[in-house]
Amino acid sequence: MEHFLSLATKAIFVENMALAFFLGMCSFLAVSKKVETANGLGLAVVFVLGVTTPINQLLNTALLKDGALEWAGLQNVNLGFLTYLALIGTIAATVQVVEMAVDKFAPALYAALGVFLPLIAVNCAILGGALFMVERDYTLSEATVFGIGSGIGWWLAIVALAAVREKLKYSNVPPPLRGLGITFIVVGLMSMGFMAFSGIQL
Amino acid sequence: MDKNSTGYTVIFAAAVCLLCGAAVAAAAVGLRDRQETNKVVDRKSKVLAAAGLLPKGKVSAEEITKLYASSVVPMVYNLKTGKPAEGVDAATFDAQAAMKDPTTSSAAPENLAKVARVPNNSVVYEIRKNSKTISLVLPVEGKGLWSTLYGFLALTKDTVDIKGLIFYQHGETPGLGGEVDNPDWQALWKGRKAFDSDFKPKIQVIKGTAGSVEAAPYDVDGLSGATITSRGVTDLLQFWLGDDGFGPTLAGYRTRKGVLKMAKAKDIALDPLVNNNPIALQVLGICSALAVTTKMSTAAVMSVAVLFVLIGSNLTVSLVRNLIPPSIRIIVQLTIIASLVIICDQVLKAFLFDISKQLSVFVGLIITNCIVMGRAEGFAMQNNAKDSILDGIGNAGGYALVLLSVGFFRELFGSGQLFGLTILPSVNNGGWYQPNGLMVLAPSAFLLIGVFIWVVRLKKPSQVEEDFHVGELAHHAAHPEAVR
Repeated sequence: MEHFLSLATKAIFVENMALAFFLGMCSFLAVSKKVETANGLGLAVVFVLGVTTPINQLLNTALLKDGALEWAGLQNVNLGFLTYLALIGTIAATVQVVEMAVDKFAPALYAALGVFLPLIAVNCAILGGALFMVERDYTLSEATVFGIGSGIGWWLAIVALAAVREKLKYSNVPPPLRGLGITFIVVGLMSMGFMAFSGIQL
Repeated sequence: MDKNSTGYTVIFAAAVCLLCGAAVAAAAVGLRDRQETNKVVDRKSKVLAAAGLLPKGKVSAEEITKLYASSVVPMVYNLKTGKPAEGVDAATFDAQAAMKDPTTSSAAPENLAKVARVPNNSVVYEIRKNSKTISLVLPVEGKGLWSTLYGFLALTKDTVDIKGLIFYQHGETPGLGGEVDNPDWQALWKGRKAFDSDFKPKIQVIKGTAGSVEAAPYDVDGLSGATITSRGVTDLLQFWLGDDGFGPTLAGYRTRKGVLKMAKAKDIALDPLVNNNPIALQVLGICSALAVTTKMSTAAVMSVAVLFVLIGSNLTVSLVRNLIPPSIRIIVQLTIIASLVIICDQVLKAFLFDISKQLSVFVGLIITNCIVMGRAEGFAMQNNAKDSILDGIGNAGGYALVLLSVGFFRELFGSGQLFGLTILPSVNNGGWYQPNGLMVLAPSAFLLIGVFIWVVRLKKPSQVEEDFHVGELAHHAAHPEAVR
């Protein structure tokens, strides 16, 4: 249990997807003008990361890893080179399925997340999560915790940034810095703040 | 003789009429040629002046005629088709007369410049130097406040940049609208752009001051106190550069001279470097831009990898763009991109193992690099293979530019090295430089890109985002006179 708690803390704060690994930056910067929409996208990312990371973990251990095909009698086959293709395919397909399922069974949730789901298929935070999972050899339960944890970290970061940007409207920024420029600087400072978490071990 | 007799009065009146008539007629007939010449020379001098060829100071009529003969070739074009008109003598062609004659003109569609009739044919003065066309001068006209303004607009040979605008005849208020003749104002036109990149007329006279050519390529200062004249100038330029004016002629010219092709190819490849930088302006591909810039070597390898993938995916998508069923196009693009990334990754692992280890997951993340996806969907799906390759090179170049400049600062100040070679010997190794630890950490990448965007937008104010902030609004409310 302690191990999972530590993993989650690490994923949320210390190795924050957005602020330490720069993942999902495109939508992080583009959709952080308002807290409300940022919140919606953040939740969708938590959701999709929580679903796709374990699925990809299963896929990886059962099919792709070196020697993973032993059960089929193919000890010497290594499909590792297909990892990227399989991962992104799974993510795109899962997002599609999830979108349809949410639409069918939870229309209220769909109304809140709907527009963000297709956007997420090409969000690098999702693929990044899967790739880190492969690189670090997580087990299924670790992968689930890691997926949800890093999703929450990303969610936290984008909501915080959106809140800062809403307040930023009241300040007199030099014109060439307005919009994207000052956002980068703000993210830089936030990232510095998050660095205070580094070194925390649970 | 009785001066009051009826006969005397009549005869005297007749005699005075005869004599005065003779004198006036003699003057008119005798001087007509000279007057005509003056008018023609004046026209010629204005054509030359618009093209910037007229020497400073007083120039004699002979010199003007000589200069004109040696450098100006008038060509008559059919305005509808944009092709050279046949059976018309360009030297004697009079656009103003052709415009008034119903047999050689047609009613103009409703337009802001209040041009009533458009001639079927009109003249374009090609300015040549050593038998190469260096600029084009177009006659333009339109209503100002009181009168019709007649003038010449000179464009560079690619038909985009303005060389000059001179009005040779108008009746605007002296000192206000009449300032169209002011050399200082005329000088403002040089170097501005008449057309945007899609060859839509964009030049305009704005209210107030426009600023430098770089800052406001499409705007010219307004004439103070002459709003309607200024607007008239905008409208007449928009009209004559548009589809009802010289639009087709200029388009024909561009196609014939291959201007379009060259300008477009250049634009496609160079535009994304600074003007339309994928990272700084379009917020694409940021993730990897930040993560791999702690060192120049990783930044360079990453740039090359993206260049390869971007060219490959643009080319492939462009080649099969007409075969892809629309419903699955995203997945097809993703598959193409993912395959290219895998090839790239395998090559890196084979030949640059160390760097590929440092890049770790970020090579894989090129798949979701929005630049690649964005260009495939946004450009390659609509354009041919050659343009798509150029677009790929340009965007990868813009990406590399940001990556390498951020990498430069991070490696130099973070560890005193460039490409692993020591530039500033660090304290740890017995040197004098105290490395700035922040530079190798994540926040510095954000700060540096922020500054990069700042610098780019300082140079290119047209990219500034108009994020009206609340403080400024309050300031304007309190000081309404400060608003331009």
